[in-house]
Amino acid sequence: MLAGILVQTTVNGAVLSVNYALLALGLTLFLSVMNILFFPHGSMYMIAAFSMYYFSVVFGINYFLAAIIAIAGLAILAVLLEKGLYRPIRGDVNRVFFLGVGLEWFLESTGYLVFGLMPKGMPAVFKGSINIFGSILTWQRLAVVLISLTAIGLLQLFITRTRLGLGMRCYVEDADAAALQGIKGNSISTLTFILGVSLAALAGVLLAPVFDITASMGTPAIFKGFLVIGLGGLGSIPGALLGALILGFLDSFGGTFVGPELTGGLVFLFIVLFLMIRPRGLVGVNR
Amino acid sequence: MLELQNVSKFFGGLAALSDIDLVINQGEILGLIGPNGAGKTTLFNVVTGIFPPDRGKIIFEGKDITGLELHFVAKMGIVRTFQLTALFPGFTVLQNVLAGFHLSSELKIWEALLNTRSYRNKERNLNQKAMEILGFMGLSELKDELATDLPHGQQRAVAFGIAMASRPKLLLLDEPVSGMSLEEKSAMLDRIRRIREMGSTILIVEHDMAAVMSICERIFVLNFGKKIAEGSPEEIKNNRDVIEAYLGEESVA
Amino acid sequence: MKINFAYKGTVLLVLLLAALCLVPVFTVNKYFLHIFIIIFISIIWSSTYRFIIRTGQIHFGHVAFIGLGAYSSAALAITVHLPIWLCILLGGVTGLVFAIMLGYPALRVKALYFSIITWGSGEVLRYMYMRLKVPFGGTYGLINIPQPGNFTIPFLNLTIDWSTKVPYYFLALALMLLTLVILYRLEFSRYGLIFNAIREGDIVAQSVGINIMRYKVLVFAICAFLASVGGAFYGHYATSIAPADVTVVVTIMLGCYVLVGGQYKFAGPIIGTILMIVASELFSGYAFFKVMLYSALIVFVMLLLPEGLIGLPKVVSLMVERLRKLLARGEDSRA
Repeated sequence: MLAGILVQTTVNGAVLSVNYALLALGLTLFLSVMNILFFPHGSMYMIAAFSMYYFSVVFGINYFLAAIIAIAGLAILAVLLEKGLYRPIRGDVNRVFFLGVGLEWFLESTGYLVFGLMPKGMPAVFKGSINIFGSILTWQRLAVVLISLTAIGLLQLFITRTRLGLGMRCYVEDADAAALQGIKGNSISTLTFILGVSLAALAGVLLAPVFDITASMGTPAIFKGFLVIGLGGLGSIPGALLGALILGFLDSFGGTFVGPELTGGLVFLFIVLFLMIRPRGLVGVNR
Repeated sequence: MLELQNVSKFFGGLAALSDIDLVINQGEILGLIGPNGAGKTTLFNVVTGIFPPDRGKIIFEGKDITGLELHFVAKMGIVRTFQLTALFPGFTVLQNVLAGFHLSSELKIWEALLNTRSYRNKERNLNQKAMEILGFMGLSELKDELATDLPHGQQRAVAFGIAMASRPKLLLLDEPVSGMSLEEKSAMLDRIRRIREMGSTILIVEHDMAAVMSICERIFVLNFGKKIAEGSPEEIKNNRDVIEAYLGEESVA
Repeated sequence: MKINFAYKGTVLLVLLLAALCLVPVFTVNKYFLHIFIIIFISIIWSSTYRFIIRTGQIHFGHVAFIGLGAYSSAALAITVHLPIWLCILLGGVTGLVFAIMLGYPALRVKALYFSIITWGSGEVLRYMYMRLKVPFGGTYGLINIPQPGNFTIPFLNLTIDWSTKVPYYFLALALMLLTLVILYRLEFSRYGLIFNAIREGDIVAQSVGINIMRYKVLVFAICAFLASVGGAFYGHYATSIAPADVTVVVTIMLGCYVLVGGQYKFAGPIIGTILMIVASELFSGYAFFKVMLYSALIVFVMLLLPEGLIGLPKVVSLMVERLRKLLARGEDSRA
């Protein structure tokens, strides 16, 4: 039944790739526009997932409504974080990073306090599954993939077609020149935070019915995200997508045929060697 | 002393340097001029090893130095100044010049770790030499000032001091008097002459024609990556091609 | 006779050193000694980490050196039964060799990618420890790591008994002092000038003949050696190590120690390490609150103190100045 396993693994790989892409995109935005390694990205994801649990399961609110509330709420949190914590220290890369570290640990431990130690679970929203060439794909996961791809497409459109997106790209090219055009650093900063965190929130909202929800779910997610953008090339959206694709399939095939532990080690080895040979990532931008 | 043979450098399809043959003789002051974009800085970069030429050879004191890295080239005795970022931002003036003494510091790790007398003597010696250079540049009183706090002209003087500290056999100066007042310019030109008296050979890139004419013994003119003229200041001043190349730019005096 | 006040600092240091040496005399309390030992070794780790950062490289793999030192020393002791001091030395050498092998290709690479390479190296090593049961004990790590043998100094009639913490205390103190002296001399000699030059302007540095790669690798290797020795010590002290002990979180913690204390000054990581470890112990009664308080402290310092805690006197005096001016202005407007 090798063919069946192969197809299943491929399908899983595709699903993983999209999940990774969603997480990595937010990080890419933070990094390329604001030069911030946004460590709390994982907590944003975690808080979104927990919110979904509480809204949907505990309070019985409709899933889609709950999703909107969760994402909006996190967007507001993002603005608060930006104005209160990140804006005063903008520019000092080390300080910004370790502030993020402290923030992430703070949010994670608060999460444990508020949500408890036991993982929570959410029932799938889209029930049932379909059969692709003998492999099983649940509707839930398929929906996640489709919605994620839509979101990625919308993001790409936003960045390339809208005025705000154009403003962001101008800021990335030359912050001073952008300022002369009336594009304020503060506005771009706020916009980046909103977009980036919303992507993390979207990931949390979409994946809440899929994975166990624990306060520590954020940490492996961000590490994976950093790995993806490291491979794909920091500061490049196509790079992040490509990196997510490769890592998703590597993890899936590796997990099935070689075992998750060995896969983990080999993936890291591959990336270390790759970056030493090609120090720009796959699609890295040279700045 | 320095010879460029058939040197070419391409960026994409554009020839920044095209079949350049250049000779610099020991002890002379050679000027390199040309309109903006003519390839002067590229020539500097190729000689000092910032990037290698695509074609051709560079020979220094009989040895082939084509493509050698920047610090190797410096070790062999070729030092350059830069147009921008010519010094260490966070350092004081004195520290800047002290850094320039790297190659003469004979630094040995055991001596530094154990703070031996020989190490301390060497450092004291270098400090003295650094102060001499600062004196020569007229910067003695500013020795503890942060280099980036100084006005532009003095920053260039510091950069020059760093270059001097590395005791160059061949000194490449990238626009040494740009942005300077008349007095500063004449002081700088004097210093350049003095350095030559002390034994260095000098290659200058400059836009200021008056400065070039007054200090250079020979001039080499580039345009669009190609050599268009070479000769004494008198010859170059009246050279048709040179004047044409500069038409559309600020006119030559 | 005038006392030369230039030596005031040295006198203070000597007194401090004497006090530290006397601690085990006054308290054989295992807990206190343990905390001191952890602080000493962590100071080795955080100071070496800061040194690497100070050449401008954002390094995420410091735990790789620590782990390599610990694991290789422990493995040598368990499988080859070499004397412990030799194992520790070889542990340090392993870290040194690894740093050189990693350093040459990795240090060429631009900042953020260097971070990923170093992080990745740490992880690859960690996975290796997890997979290889034979020298490294696999997922559960190594236990019963041999301690140094007891021996007696005849003419002092003193027995060094490694089952108590006291000899470890002095060894840790000695290793820390050795590390700090080496790093101090490097920072305040011409080497410091070179490292700063590399960080401030690497092109200008090269144009005066500084071979950037050579010095970056030098720093990397020396700090790796010292950190690995610290790691090796830790292995024999704690008598057990596991892959879970050498995650990237350790590196990030060390980074916190350095940044909180102050990355720009030599004493920064020392202050940061002491404070953070003490804080961690103080907060440890509060379960989840411990991490919350601890991380809140980090956020607080990052937000308010650009130069870390070392910069606190400067910040305070600036605030006092501002306050004074405000009050003066207030009085003027009333008059």
